[in-house]
Amino acid sequence: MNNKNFEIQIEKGTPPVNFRWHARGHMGFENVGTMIVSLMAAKKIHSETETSGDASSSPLFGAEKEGKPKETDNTISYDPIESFCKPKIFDVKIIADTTIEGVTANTNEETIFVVNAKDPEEVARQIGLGPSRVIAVDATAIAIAEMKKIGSKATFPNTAVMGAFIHIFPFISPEELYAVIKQKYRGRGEEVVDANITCAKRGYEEAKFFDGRGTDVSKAKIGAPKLLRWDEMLPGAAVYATGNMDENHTGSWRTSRPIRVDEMNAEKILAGLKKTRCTNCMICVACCPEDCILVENEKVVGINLDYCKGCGICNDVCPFGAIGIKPEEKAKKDDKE
Amino acid sequence: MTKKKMWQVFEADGNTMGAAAAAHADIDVVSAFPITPCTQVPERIGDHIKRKELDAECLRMDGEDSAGAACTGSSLAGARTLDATSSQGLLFKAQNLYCWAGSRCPVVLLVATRAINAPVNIHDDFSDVMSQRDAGQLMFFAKNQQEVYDFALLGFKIAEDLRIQLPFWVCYRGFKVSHTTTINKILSPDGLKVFRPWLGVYERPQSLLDFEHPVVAGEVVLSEHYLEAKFGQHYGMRQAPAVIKEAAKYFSRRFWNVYSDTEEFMVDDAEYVAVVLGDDFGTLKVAVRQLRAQGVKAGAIRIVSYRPFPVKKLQKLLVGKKAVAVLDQALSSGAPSAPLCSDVRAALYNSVAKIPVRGIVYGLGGRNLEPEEVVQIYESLKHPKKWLGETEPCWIGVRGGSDKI
Repeated sequence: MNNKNFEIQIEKGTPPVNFRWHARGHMGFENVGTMIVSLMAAKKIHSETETSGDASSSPLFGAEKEGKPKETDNTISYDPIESFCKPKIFDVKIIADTTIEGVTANTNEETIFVVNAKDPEEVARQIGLGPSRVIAVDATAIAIAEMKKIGSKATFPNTAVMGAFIHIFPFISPEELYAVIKQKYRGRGEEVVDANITCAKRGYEEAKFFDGRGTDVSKAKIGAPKLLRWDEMLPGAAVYATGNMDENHTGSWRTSRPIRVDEMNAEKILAGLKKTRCTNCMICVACCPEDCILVENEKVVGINLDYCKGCGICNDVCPFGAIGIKPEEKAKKDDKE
Repeated sequence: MTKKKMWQVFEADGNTMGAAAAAHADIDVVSAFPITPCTQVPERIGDHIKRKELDAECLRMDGEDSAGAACTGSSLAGARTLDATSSQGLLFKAQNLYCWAGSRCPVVLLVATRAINAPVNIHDDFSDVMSQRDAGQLMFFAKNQQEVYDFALLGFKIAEDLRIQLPFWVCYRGFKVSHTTTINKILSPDGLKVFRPWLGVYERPQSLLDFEHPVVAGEVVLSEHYLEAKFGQHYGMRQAPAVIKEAAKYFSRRFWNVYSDTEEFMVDDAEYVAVVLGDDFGTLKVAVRQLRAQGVKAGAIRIVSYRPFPVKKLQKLLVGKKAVAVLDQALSSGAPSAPLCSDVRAALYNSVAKIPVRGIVYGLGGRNLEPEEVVQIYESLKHPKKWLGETEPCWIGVRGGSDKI
């Protein structure tokens, strides 16, 4: 496979290479940034006259919640890194979950995307990555398969994505990556180490490439938020626009979705085959931290999925089993059907 | 027709004067926690409320931190709010001080300044207020009980001005001003009839209690807008000198004279000038008179408005002087100068004239500044070569101290 077009070299005097990992809080990507730093640390040359190879990793902080999109930024460079400011344009973007929004921000046509998906061309169209270079690897499938072998239900796609990712840097060999993985997971037993190394190996081998440069794959338009001048802000940064959460659908953080069992069984209930479970006791309404249970005429009529973060409290508190939980990806698929 | 008398005589100490100002400014909320030496402020305000001279809410909080937070809330709701504190209390309140400025809460805070532990000391120095001087508030230093009253009254007018909307501190020395009773002037009922309409009612445009226009305050503002929010706050401080001047001018014309930036004593023809904060200006005046009698051209300046700092005025006053001493009753260990001296030096550095400035640290923990010591300081200014090499302030009055005045 010829992937010369996907390589980035770092040399003396060239600007540092910046990349950003887009993942969610539960995907095992908390460690990738520091693993990249460890990779480079092993390669770093210190001598009397020269230091070469430097790396940094900085996670971006905001609200904390499983399923909340999280970013980690990495920089690697031949020369020592002296500035920790965020770059305007990233050379590489790694997308661990294609449902995360805003992944094309701060990129240009030279940006390489590494995506957790089956087909690079299809995913480029689907989430608007073109015209760019895309590397795709079905990392979640690899992780599920390999972890199943050791009897684990873990689905962390991180190591498989890293395996595909190192194609970009010809000076990093897969063996070096395996060594870092071994170092990172050594506390979790040999089985886990080996499974993760296999994931990385498969990620490296099964990566697929799509050079979208020059094609007409349209680029997703990201509306830049309107930034206010200081005199347009209210004193003390007060905000009149209560209800501006309209613009910020935190429902996109969800990894599992509450399902109303009665809604699912609607036909059977009508036919008299099943009984209604919900008694409109309103316990879920009182307990939902996001006020997402919709009520009309003293009856529960639905769930506001724009803001439901999928915490599952409604499921826990319902005494009648009227609310079930479904993985979000499965629910989305069912929606389409 | 005889002219109505705007004022009446009132014998009171600093804290009582502060409380009288609160009553005369018709505050809505006082939230305070007792701490020596400012305890009498909320006590006296409580007396005013009990006598039905003042219709205000007296919040008895469980600590300085919550007292400060209560002020944030009441001020955001649009209530005219006063607080009083000292020393450890000010430090325990610290996070709220920044919150007041950042949320644009025009709280008037009376600080009876006091040394900070350890060792434990309840007497005066400016360590407490200087430690929080960058929280974003206006700071006025009163030289006597009268000024505590004047500045607190003016404070509400200035702080609540929509161009500013920042907290306003009145700093006066613990015990020396707060607990010393003197003969003062307060507004008479006729005076209040003039003063109250001028002061007006605090009408916060973004009141939390305005249910017609709901507003969110104190929300998260990350790097996209924080710089702009802080500039907005800072712009309020930039507007302050003009607003202070307006208010002081009206008050001086209508009632009695108030200082609004600096006070000078024999500075015009002086060669050697000392700069100080608060009531030690009086001690300086005693020394200046002695020196003038001996033919030494000495002068003294008191910084009234420490924030905003009267940079231009100070440059104008000090141009052409042979040497300047700045007396600090606070400390910044390891720094080239103590807080006030830093500001004076910085204000002078980019002016045309290069003037030698000597930093002096005195009176920490309430030790008296003796006129003889001040005379020594002035004498030392005659020979700048002896002290120009100093890399930190000279301590005076230390028994066994090696610093040479």
